[in-house]
Amino acid sequence: MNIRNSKKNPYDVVVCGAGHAGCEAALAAARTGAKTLILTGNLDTIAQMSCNPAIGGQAKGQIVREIDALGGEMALNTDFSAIQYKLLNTSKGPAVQAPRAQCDKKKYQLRMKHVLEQSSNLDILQILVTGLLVKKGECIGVKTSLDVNIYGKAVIVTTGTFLRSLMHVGENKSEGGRLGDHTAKGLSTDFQKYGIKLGRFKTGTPPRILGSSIDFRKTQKQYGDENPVKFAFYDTRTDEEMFHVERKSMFHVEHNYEKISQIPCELTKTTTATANIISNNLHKSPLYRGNISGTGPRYCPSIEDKIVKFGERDGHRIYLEPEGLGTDEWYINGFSTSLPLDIQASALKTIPGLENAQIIRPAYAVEYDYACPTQLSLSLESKKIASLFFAGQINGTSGYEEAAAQGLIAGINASHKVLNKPAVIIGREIGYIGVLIDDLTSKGVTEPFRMFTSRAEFRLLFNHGSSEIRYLHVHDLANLISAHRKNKITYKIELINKWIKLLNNSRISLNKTYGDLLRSNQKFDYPSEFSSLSTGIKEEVIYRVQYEGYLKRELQNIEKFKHSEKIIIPKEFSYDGIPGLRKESIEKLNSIAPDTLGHASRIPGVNPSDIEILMIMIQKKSYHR
Amino acid sequence: MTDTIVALATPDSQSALGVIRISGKKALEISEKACGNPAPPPRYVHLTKYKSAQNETLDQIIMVYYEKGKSFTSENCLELTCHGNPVLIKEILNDLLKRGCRLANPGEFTYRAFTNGKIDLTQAEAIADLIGAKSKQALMLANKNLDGNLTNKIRQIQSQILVQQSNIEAFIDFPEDDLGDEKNRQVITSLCDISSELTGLIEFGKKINVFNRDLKVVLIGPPNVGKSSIFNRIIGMDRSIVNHEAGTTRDFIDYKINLGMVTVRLYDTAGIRKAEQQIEEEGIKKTHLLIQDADLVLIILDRSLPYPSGVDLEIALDIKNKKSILVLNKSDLPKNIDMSESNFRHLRTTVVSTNEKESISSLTGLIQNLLLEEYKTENEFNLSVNLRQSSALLKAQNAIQKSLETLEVGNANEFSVPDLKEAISCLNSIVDTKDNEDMLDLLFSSFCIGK
Repeated sequence: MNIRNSKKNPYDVVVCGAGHAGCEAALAAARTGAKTLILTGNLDTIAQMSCNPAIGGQAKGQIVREIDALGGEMALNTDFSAIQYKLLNTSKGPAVQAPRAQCDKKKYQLRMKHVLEQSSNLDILQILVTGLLVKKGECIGVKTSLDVNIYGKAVIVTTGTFLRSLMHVGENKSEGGRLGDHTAKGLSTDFQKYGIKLGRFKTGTPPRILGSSIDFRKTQKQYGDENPVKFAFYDTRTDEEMFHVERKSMFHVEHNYEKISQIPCELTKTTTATANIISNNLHKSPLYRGNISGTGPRYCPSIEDKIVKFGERDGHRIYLEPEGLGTDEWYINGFSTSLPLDIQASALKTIPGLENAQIIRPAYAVEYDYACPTQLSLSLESKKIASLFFAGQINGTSGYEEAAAQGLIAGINASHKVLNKPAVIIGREIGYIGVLIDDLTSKGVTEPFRMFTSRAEFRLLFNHGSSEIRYLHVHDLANLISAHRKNKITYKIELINKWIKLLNNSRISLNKTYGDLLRSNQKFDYPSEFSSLSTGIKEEVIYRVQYEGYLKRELQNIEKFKHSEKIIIPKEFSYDGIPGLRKESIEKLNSIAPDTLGHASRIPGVNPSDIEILMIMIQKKSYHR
Repeated sequence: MTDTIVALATPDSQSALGVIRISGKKALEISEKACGNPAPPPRYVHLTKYKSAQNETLDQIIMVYYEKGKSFTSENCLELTCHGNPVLIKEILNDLLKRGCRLANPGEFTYRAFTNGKIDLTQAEAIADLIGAKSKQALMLANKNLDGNLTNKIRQIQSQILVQQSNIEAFIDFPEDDLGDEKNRQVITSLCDISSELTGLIEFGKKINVFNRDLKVVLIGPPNVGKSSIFNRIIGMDRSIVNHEAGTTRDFIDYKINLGMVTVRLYDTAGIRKAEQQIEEEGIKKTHLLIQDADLVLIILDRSLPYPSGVDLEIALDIKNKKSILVLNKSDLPKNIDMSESNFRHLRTTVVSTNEKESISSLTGLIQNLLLEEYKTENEFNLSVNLRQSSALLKAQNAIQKSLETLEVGNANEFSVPDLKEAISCLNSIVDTKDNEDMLDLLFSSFCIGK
């Protein structure tokens, strides 16, 4: 075995967990030049989609495109395993339109596993991590279940829901982070030993049924878009960058990435009978018996919660989604539950189309430990233990996309730390990934955190198509994409700016420019040279010109926002004894130790007047970035 | 945590009593060492002696102790009531400085109450208004805000805006959930309501502004009708030169008087006619400017002469939309004027004679009533709005209007959200404040020392 288990010859980066966060973390670390090892309890569950068989959706779709702009893998992996595409919110403006794809789960996993296998600088090992190796406040590796210690100059924890995880089906309890999988016990104890505060969350997943048991005559077909919006940016990539796995292996391109044959989903809804069965059996739900102490996500309620909180209504929507091309397993979206198996079965049968539904994978709720993310700096490094990074669901988030984004950033920063390069911090004004990490580290979480467009104050500028433009500057720091792609993006930006100017300045009639007509919603023909540009570029130019007024204001707001982000709070700054600062604010500021004044201003419970006092105190000592 | 501040809360002159306030960490130490009471029960009156650091008795005083968290500043506080001799008070203050206190800056007690979260910004302003109130009405209004009435109103409007924002956000962030139809119409209607509520508050602010500024009352009319005589009678002294020769008053003359609940600045002006001298023409120009700025215009005519032709149209144009009174002077002489052709015939009219005291006092009564006319209605909001608050309300209202425009021209809903957020943040600046250090400095330095 050539796994480096000696102190003298450690890995640069060790990643614990190979879910959506772990995969991106390992790839980012390896791609930026760090000797990396990824550990997983089960090689066959790499990049497993534990819940719904879809990537993207509102705010998440934008995140995936941003991951692609940063050089992550999720977008390509989705495009190569997609079986249906849908752009959400097409009745709204470009900023809040979001791509989503149904994926072949197995294909998604297999391709990602293969990407890991093919990646240079990256080793893989199936082993359980049982504890941390910490020396003088710095993490130097991990303990494992096979009695070997593995050493790394930086460690990234991406263990998802596996810490002290407990699954509930009715009154039945079993240990495990996912049905059929193990739980990680030792890690929680070790975290606590080193002063890392843990919390407890709960999430759930619906049952899966056999497609042949669905009566498709009673359900409504949900088709994908005829002209899909893909996740990865293809106009700036070489073939090498597109098919980096497929070229090298048997994993050949069976999907033409241009065109796929799409599989529809199905829509049905619950009935009065469903509501009755659930209401009559609430006492069997661990959630309502008080057996579950973890907090669950409000926006992703179980069917019990929906019936109790919102009543029967005229039925709750149930989407049936295929889990892949090579299986007849279907996902019952909207029917997450922790009721006993027999109740799940009888409740399902009251839903039109599911009268004969045959459950092949029961629904369950899962409780798990998360590590409070306010203990992290903006690079996702722990403030308690140096060289230890956290990413993904362990930080209290939910969603594959949120996890992957964190993994990518933690991977870059762990690698950068080891290689003595500056940390990559994504500001809130850059995109959803910035908002995600800033919210987690400054506000913390009170329920599993999901991204929404409304969390981003500058969302009008975060249209998914502009991701490459917004993240280009990061590549001055991190080597994640090829020089070729960087040049292509730079050229794309120039082209876009040129056309924005042209449309705004050239007159189509005596006193009207193209821009004027666009803004007054009038019909006209674009110059033929413009029409021949790629769709992505055209859409970006039109958006910027048509909504110029709104977008300019957002840019001005960003300038204001940046001002307080520039005021650095020095690490040694002491909040104690500052006149006028309230005691509870001092406590919060001490525990979160914000990096900038802007960061401090977003801590809940810290008042604007506290910030003013802080500003005076800091400026007195004149620390400036 | 904080240093201890001290200030004289009563005027620095000879009086029966003087009150010295102390706030901060050292309050209890002073109670022990200077007033001989190491653990005073809070909120009780203690008769004691004030002893200097040299242990000489300076005065017999009343001391009240307010404990941390429950005092005005939310810090430990002492109030010492001593005898009102400036020399004695200076001695005590000097002794307190020696014991480690420092003199408070203007408004510092209130500033501490604000930064310690005891009061919000509207309440701090209400305290400034209470101290500076020039009329009973102003006092009453300030008291409403001290109760938090404006803050409550602002919070209520903010949450109404938030409800509409969330109506919009729901359809953006949950496009596939079963939310029913988009509620654009309802959002627009509600935002219109919010906008008019804000307008109501702004208008109300303008109205009650009469209690916080000098109101301008301008006397105009043709030359030699007795404007200056009436001016002198109203102010009760000979300020304006009176002469039979037309055009005596070439520039304007003004004087400030208190009329009941309001303060009035009264202006005597050059007679309006075709000017014969350049200097006089200048005066007439100024008169027109004054009229534009006036809260009330008194048009004076000589009742004993025929109606003067040639001037009234010009004035009539100026006083359009202005409150005005037609004053017919010289009621002691036979009437010769015929108003039937005059543009002023519909104005409120009163007849006076400068020789009759009563007719002048009924004129001042009329002036007062007219100035307060629109305020006679009930205080419909039960609160007060000052200029700073008014301008923030106006900004909020503009933002709401902009978001309405976005929705009404049919741009996608998400474009209306930044304006809604802007409105909420403008309203926030009324109650709390963010990055506006200058405003805070200005606000608190307008206090007198000791508050």
